[in-house]
Amino acid sequence: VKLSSNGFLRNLNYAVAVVIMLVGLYAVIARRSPVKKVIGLIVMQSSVFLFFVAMGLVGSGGKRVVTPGFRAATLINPVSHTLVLVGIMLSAGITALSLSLVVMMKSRQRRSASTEEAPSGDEDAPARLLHGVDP
Amino acid sequence: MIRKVAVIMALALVGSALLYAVAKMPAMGDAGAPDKTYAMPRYVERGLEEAGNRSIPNDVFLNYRAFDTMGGVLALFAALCATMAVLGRSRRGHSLAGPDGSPVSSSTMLWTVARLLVPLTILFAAYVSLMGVNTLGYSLQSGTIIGGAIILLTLVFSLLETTRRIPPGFQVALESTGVLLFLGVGLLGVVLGAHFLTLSIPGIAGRSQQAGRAVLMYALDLGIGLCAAGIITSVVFSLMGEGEVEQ
Repeated sequence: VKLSSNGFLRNLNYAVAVVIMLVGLYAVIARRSPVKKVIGLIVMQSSVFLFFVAMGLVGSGGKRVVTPGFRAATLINPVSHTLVLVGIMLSAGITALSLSLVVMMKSRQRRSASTEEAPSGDEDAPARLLHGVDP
Repeated sequence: MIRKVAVIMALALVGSALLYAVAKMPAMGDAGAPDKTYAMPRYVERGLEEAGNRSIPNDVFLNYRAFDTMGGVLALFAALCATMAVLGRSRRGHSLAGPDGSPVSSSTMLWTVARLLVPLTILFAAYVSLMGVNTLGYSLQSGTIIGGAIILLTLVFSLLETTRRIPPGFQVALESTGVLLFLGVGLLGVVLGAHFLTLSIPGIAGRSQQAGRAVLMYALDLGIGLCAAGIITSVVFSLMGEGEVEQ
C-alpha cells in the first residue's frame, strides 16, 4: 500500500482529527477509571466534529452567512456544519448520561463494599473516583 | 505488559486504517467532492429565498431539516430523563464542607467577581441568541453559556443558595419548555392548515409571510437553547447533589 505524502499533506486536517481520535480511543480502552473513559469518549466526539468541519471547507476558506449578491461558490458546505451542531447537542446529553451512570456505579460499589466490611472514612472519595482505585 | 502491547496494536490497527482512508479521500476544500455536489448546491443557492435566513446552516438546521432537529431535541430530552431516572432529582441542597456551605473556600473577592460576572454572562447569552438569527451563532450556544453561568454560581455560592434562587419547579419548567415550544410550532402548521413544521402561514403573502417565518424559526431556535440550558442546569444540580449526599 503506497501512502503518498502528497495525500497526507493535502488532508493534514483530517489526519490530525484521526490522531485526536486515537488519543480518545487510548483513554477509552487503556484507562481503568470510568471518568477518564468518559473524557476519552468526549475527545473522540470532538475529533469527529473537527473532521466534519474540515470536510465542509470549500477552497481555502469560505463563508456561511450570505449577503445580497453573494456567489454560491464562496460558501462552505452547510450540511456538515449542521451535522456538527446536532452532534454537539447530543454529545452534551451523552456526557451527562454516562457521568450519571459512573456515579451510580461507584455508589453501588461503595454500598456493597460497606456491607462486607465496616464503613471507613470517606474523605478521599472524589480522588478515588478520579483515579479509579477500587475501594 | 501484554495489555499495553495489545492496546498499542489495536491503536495502530485502527489508526493505520483511518489514515489510509484519509489519504485516499478527496483533497480538503475540493469543490467537486461528493459531499459538495449532492445536497449542498440546493441549500446554498436557494437557502435564502426558500428558508429565509442569511445563515445557511441555520436554514438547514431550523427549516429544511427541522424534523431531524426535532429528533435531536427529543433525544436530548430523553437523555435528560434517563439521567434523572439514574440520579434522581436533587432535593434542595444542604450545606457542605465550608462554614459558608460553598465547595470553594470563601473569599470576598471571589463572591464579588462572581456576582458581577453571572448577570453579564446571562446578558451575553441573550445577545448570542438574538444575534444568532442572522449571523454566526445559535441559541444552542446561548443555552450552554447560561448553563456555564449557573455552574459558576453553584461552585461559588453553594448548591443550597443556588437551588434557593432556581427552585426545582422552575427547573422542570425550563427543561420541558424547549420540547414543548418545538412541538407547539410544529402543530401550529397543522392548525393553520399546512403540514407539521411547515413554518409558513397559509393565506398571507409577501413580507408578512417572511416575518412570520422568521418569528417561527426564532421560536424553534429559542426552544433548542432553553432545552440546552435546562439539561445543563438539572444535570449539574443532580450530580452535585449526589456528591453532597455521599459525603
